[in-house]
Amino acid sequence: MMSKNDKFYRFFVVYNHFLKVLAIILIILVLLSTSGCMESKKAITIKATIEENEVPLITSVESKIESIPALKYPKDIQPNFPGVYVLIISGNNRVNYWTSIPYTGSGIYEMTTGLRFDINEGETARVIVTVNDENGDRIAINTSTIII
Amino acid sequence: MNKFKLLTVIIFGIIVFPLVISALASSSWYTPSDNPYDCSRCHEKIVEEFQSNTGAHNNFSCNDCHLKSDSSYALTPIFNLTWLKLEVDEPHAAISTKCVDCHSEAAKRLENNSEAHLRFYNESLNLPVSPSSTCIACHTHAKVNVSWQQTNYINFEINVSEGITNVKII
Repeated sequence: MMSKNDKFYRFFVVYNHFLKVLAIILIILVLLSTSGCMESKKAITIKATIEENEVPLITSVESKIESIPALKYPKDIQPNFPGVYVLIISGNNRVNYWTSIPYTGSGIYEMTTGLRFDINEGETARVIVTVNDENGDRIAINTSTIII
Repeated sequence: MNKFKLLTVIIFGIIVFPLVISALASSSWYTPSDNPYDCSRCHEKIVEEFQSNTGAHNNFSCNDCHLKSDSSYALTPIFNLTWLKLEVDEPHAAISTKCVDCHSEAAKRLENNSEAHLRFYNESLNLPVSPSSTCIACHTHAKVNVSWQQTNYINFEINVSEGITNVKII
């Protein structure tokens, strides 16, 4: 008969707890991986160069595809007036979430925008970057294309 | 606290808590108002026209093309504090996508000097309306029964033989 002070008994109790904790960790990991929280989704990072000489001028628009975890995936954000906005157009539709950053004059603006619809791999999309003033009116625009 | 509880707390601290924080830190909690009632309080005709739309945009919502700053116009005047003449009474700003943003083929056609609508489009640029208004002048959301016929060009041959003129469309 084993007593509670027996070394083997104590080892068994600790080992039992260890297994329980391990089981909980595994369950949490399985739940997270099956819930889609740990999946990565395609997003587009845009780098726009803006020069202001009385009126803003978007001199270049560069864009690239990035993979972002679902938990941190960028979605609609609150509007900025004035702001730099990005629209991704595919199949005659805006396919990205509303994305903008405050416009503060000349400089390089970087934004990452999430896609609200699934786009077929290899499809070409238009990337439109605009500067909108305090009323929301468009005062500058430039475009480029990207292959999703 | 026994070891099991302690381990559970540690696991939650290491896994669950950071996940919740990262979810909160992400911008996924903002949802722009997409209730047409909000918009119809001022833009009644446009909302009405859109709701009777039978065209390609009939499944669109206001938010698909417009993003507006926060405003309290959704509330009845007695609650929205407009009677106090506070800042909330200011008109809201709004982003609009232009027709040519999505329909870039129309913009491309307008680059052609022989495009039939070019003069109409160019004239409208001098008016205090957006380029989209030029498109909407003809392409409304109301159901219209128009048969569009577009002919790009016709090739034909004319032969005069023994005083008879023959015209043949190729």
